[in-house]
Formats: sequence, structure tokens, C-alpha cells
Amino acid sequence: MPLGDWQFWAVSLAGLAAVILLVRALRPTKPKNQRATLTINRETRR
Amino acid sequence: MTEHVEIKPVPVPLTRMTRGQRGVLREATIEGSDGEMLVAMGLRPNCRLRVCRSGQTCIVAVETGCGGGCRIGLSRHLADRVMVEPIAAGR
Amino acid sequence: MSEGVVTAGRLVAIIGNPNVGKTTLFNRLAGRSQKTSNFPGTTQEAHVARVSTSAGELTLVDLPGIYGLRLDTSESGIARGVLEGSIAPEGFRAAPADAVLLVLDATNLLRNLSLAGEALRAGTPTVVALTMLDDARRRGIEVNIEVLSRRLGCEVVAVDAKRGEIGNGLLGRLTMAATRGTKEAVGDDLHAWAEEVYAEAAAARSGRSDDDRITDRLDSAFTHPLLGVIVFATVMTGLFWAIFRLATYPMDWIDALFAAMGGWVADLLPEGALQEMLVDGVIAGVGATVIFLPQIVLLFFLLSLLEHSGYLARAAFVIDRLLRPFGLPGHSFVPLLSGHACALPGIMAARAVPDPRERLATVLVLPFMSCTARIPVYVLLTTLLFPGKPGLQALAFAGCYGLGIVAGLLSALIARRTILRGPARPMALELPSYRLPSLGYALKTAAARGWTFLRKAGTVILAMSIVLWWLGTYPQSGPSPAAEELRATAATVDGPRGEELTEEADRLDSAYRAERTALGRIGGVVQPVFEPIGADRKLTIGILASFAAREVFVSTMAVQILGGEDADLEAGGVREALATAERDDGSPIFTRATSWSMLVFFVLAMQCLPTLAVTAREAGGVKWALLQLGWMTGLAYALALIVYQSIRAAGIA
Repeated sequence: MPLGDWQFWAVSLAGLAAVILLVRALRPTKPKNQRATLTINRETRR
Repeated sequence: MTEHVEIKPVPVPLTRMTRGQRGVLREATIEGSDGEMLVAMGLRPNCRLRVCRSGQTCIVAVETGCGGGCRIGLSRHLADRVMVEPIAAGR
Repeated sequence: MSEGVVTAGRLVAIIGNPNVGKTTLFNRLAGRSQKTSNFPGTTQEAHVARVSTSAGELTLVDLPGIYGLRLDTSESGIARGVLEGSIAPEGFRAAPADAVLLVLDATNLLRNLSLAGEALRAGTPTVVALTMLDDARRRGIEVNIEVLSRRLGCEVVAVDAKRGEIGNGLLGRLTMAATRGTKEAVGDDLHAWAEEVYAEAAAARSGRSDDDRITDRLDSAFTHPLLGVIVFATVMTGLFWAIFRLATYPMDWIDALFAAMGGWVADLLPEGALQEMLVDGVIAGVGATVIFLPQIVLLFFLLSLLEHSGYLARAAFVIDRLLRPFGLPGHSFVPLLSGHACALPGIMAARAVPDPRERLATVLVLPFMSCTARIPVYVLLTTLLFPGKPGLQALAFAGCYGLGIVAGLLSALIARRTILRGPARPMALELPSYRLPSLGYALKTAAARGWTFLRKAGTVILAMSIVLWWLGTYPQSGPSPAAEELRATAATVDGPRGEELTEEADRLDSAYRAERTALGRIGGVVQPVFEPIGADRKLTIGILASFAAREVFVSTMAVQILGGEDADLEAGGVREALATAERDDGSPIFTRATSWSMLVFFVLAMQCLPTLAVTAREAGGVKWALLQLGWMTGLAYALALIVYQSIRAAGIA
């Protein structure tokens, strides 16, 4: 590993940021509370 | 709205109607959400229909029931359960 | 001011039947301020716009077209949720709607009134926009707006969706709307109430109008069991011809632009890791994806025109019969077809499938369709299999497409019989009136889809390109001892022989370095997994790299075999080199068995991270993406194994 090269650290930092972005992008936002409300409404309706 | 039409005594399934034939929807024994959907789309009891395409999958123009002439394509499964009293031609 | 005036951020829900000009109206009211997102946990798109009027701020939410508020469909559920305040588009706070803009279609007013009655019962201040009045008049339907307004107990504004100034008037009324409508007046029997109001407010001439006659003629051709399929095939061939042909030019421009960008960055930055990452990672990776943008924009532009002309509903009607045996509805056809350009827009187009189970099945099997990213791989392997025999190459090429379609349809059937078991929603499809589609609206739709593609895939691809580049670059190792020896020999030899030796040394070097990078080491570890389907270490790395994006396979193989980063497949020499490439033990890489096995694997395997990301988002969970990955790749592996082992057993070299 070219540890002495500042550019290596720069690209590695970019890589780390990319990994974080990927993990966040692949994790879907789940609005659990809002779904639950919908079910309750359905039941109330019936 | 009342319809004064010549009515054959026995309603027939929509699948037995021929192209261009008109009829009055008398009964649709479709349970659950599909039935509700059809009613909401304009296929209501006593509405007048015109068959635009007959056969396995058919197309009906709903002449009264929508307000204009909305057309609905129905799969055989549904069309078999829609009972229609044919109206004599010429009206 | 009167008590009805509410301060900033008044939430207005726009409700109406499908095909009533709701979205056109929304576009005109919203202008450029609109945003597209999703309703959380659903595949349903939400169009939201913030507009300010002299009387205050409004947030307009365009709800999906519905036939009723109480129906058991996801669209109705969303509409109810927004009215009650339990659902809001992603990024917006959920709150009960302050006002409703009810869009009613004058040509089908009776049916529309039932929905109106349901909406009025909710007791939210309501303004009615009455559309399609011209069409209604042509059909002999006259609507008395004053009577309608009196009976509904709210303001009714006549709107011509195509012409005239409606914006401020309607927006102003929405800001002021306080009337709660005739909540009590709508009795228990919704349809009886609707008929009563209709009888009072509208007068219709009976009999077929000219419009009806024209529609009848067109329908008899477009929905004919045989002729309809022929028309459909012709339209779709035209569509795809246009996409592949017309998109070539902008694709070339984009290609040139990214090549130039790479050049600029290389000139601008000093040589080093940063420059390499930007040029070989970011620009190469993002460029390889953005190049598909013209196809996507063109696809959605043309689809929007077809949809708004009224034709697409007829096509769905015709195709329904062909897809039903596989548990998919006619609506799935266009998404599946779009998947042949790229799975991403195909999956987005699957939002048009109304039944949630059928929609999910469509999304899950869609990546089986051979997308354009597979083409370079198909080209490489079919030419390796049948050198100098273009006829057989084309046959094998078409066979790949066929295999993908069959696998997709059978998988859909299996899914619908197991995890997505449920009654096939019998088709009840409205066939809207034929209309001249709006170019402006189609452009807007296309631009919005293009932007979504750039944003969603762009961020993921960008990140992935960086990660892949890093893994393929580090850890770095010094020159290979074998190459050093060769160079030493080369120094003692003059002329062309010396140059050849130096070139050979460079190749050895880059292969040696590639082996020692993180990606190379992973390849070495994973290789036993792919050995039964005929892959050596280099092919394994190619397969692994192509899990990020398939088109990477060709360049990865070229880089490993030739060692030259700018390996160009078009040059005959490279193809020759690939055909004669050797494994570490000196035997050829691309034997007949391996080539067939790889071809089958690439047709069926799920090797596209952006697609997995979009599947997770559209299907509402990572588990669906994982299922897609597991099923497709598992099937690909199993079939490739059968192919490889049978060919070997048959003794074909």
C-alpha cells in the first residue's frame, strides 16, 4: 500500500464515502408507523 | 332514470352477446373487490350496454351508467358473470 | 378575511378518475415547481408541487387516478391515506388534506359523480374542476355548471385542459375554499345520489356520436385477436427501432463527451492515484451508464405519446390473453419490453401494473430480459463460438434473447404459484377515448424519468465505480519477477524481437499486478465456486466484476488478458487475443464448453447492482432484491453447470 502517498489517502477516503453512500442507497426507507396507521384506518372503516 | 325497453325474459351472460347488440345489465355476481371495482367503473345494475367486441375477452360501451360512453374491456372470468337482458335491435 | 382562509402550506389533494386530465391540470397549476417522489412503501409515484398565490401558499398533491375511495386497491388506499393524513409523499409531513381539488370528466360525469359523492362525504373543503367539456358537447352532453355547483355545494370551475388561463383563478379558489360541500346531502346510496344530481345537471342526447363511430372502427382493428397482435407488434417494433436508431446519435455524443472529459482531467491533474481514479473509475464508470440516458428518455417520451393517445390501453387488452397463462397481466408487457433496453426504466414502468402481486412479479422477473448491457458480452461469446459464421452468430444471439424471455415468464409463473400466490385480478380495463397526445406533456414525462435515472443510478454507479476501481487497484505490487527477467533479456536483443519481449513483459506485469489487487485475490479465493461452470481465475474476476454491471465483463477480460487498459474490442487483434487466451496452466480459456456455459450464465444471472437497488426501492424491501439475486444467479449457475458438464461429457473440446 502506498501509505506515503497523500493521493492514496484521498482516493481511499473517496472509496469509503462511496461505500457509505452505497449502503445508504441500498437501504430502502421504511415508514413503518405510517403503514400501521393505514391498517388501523382500514379496520376502523370496516 | 327508467328504461322502457323490450326485454327478453331471461338475462344471458355478456359472453353470449354478439357484437353491436345492446342490453341492460341485470345482475353481476362478482364478489369482493372486483365487483366493487366494476360498479365504480360504471357497470351498475340497470345500466345500458353496447357490445363493441364479443368473445372471450369483450369490450362494452357503457351507454348509461357512466354518463357518456366509457368503454370497458373485461376478461372472460368477469364477462361470464355479468348477466344482461338483450334489447331488441332498432332502438 | 373570512374564516376559510388558511395560512401557508395548505395541503390540496387532487382527486379524480383515471384519464380525466388530472395530471395535465396538475402540470399546468404546478408549473416548474413540481417534484416527483414515491408514496412510502409503495411503487406509487407522488407528484407534489408548492405554489404560491396572492392569498397564500399551497402544496398540491396529485393522487393516482381512482374509481372510488373505498376500493381495495393500492391507489384508493393512498388516496384515503392522503385525505385522512396518514400517508404523505416521501419527504413530506403527513397531515390531513386541507382542501380537495376534485377533477370531474364531463364526458363521464355520472360515474365521476359517485367518486365526487365519496369525496364530499369526507367533509374536506372542495373545489371542482370540470374537464373535457368540448368532448362532452361533441357527444351531445350539456352540463349546467350552476346547477352542478348548487347540488354539490361547492364551486365548479370549467377547465379546458389544453387552452386558456385557469391557473390563478383555480388556485385562488383553492386557497379560499371553505365550503365543506354537501356532506349531509349525499345520502347512503351514493349511486342514487349521483344519478339524481346527474339528471338535474346534465342533459345527454342518446345514440352513437361520430366519436363513438371512430372509436368503434379503431377498436375493431386494435383489439382484434389477430390483427391487434400484428398492429401491436408493428407499433412496438417501430418504437424499438426508433429507440435503437435515433438514440445512436446522442449516445455517440455522450460517449465523445466523456472521452473528452477523461482527456481534460488527465491533462489537468498530475499523474497519480487521483487522476487514475477520476479517469478510469469515475468518468469511465459513470460514462458507461449515462450513455443509456438517450434510450431511456426516448422510450418514455414515445410511451407517453402512446399512452395518452389511448392506444396503450388497447395494447394491454390484446396482450393480456398472451401473458395470463404466466400469471402476468397485459399491463406487464410494456415494462417487460422496456427491460430489453435497460432493466431500470422497465422496473420503473412496472408502476403501471395495478395489482400489487402482479406488479411485484413483473419487477422480479424483469431483469431476465436481455438488456443492452448484455449485448457486448453476447457479441464477444457468440463470435468466439462461431468465428466467421455470422448466420450462426445471429442465431445464438437471438437464442440468448429467447432464453431470457422464457426464463422470465416461467419464473413469473412459479412466483405467482408460490410466494406471490393470489387470485389473478381479472381484467377490467377502461379503454379511454382516443386523443391527440400532448407533446409537451410527453417531453416533461421523459425529462422527469431521465432525471430520476440520472439521479438514482448516477449516485449508485458513481459510488460503485470508485469502489470497484479501488479494489482493482490496491494493494499495489511491484513488477513481476518473470517480467523483470524478460525485460533484462529484451535489453540484450535488438530490433522487433526486443520490442515483442518488452510488450510481453508489460502484459505479464499487469496480469501479475491484477492478480495481487484485492479484486484479484478475491477472484483467486472465489474461483473454485465457478470452476464447475468452466471459469478460471481470470473469468472469475470477470464474472465478479460484472456483478456491478455486466458490460464490465468484456473490458475486465481484455484488461486481464492483454494487460492494456485501453483494450478495444473493435480491433480484430483483441478478439484474436481473447480467442487464444490461456489459463494459468496454459490451456485455452474459451473452450466451447466454457463459452456456452458463460453465455447461459450471462443471459440469466442477476449482475446489476443498480437494478437490485431499484428493485429494493420499488418492491419496498431489500428481501425482494436478495430473492431476485439468489433466484436468477442460482438458476444461471445451475443451467450453466448442466451446459458445461454435458458438453464436456459429450467430449467436445
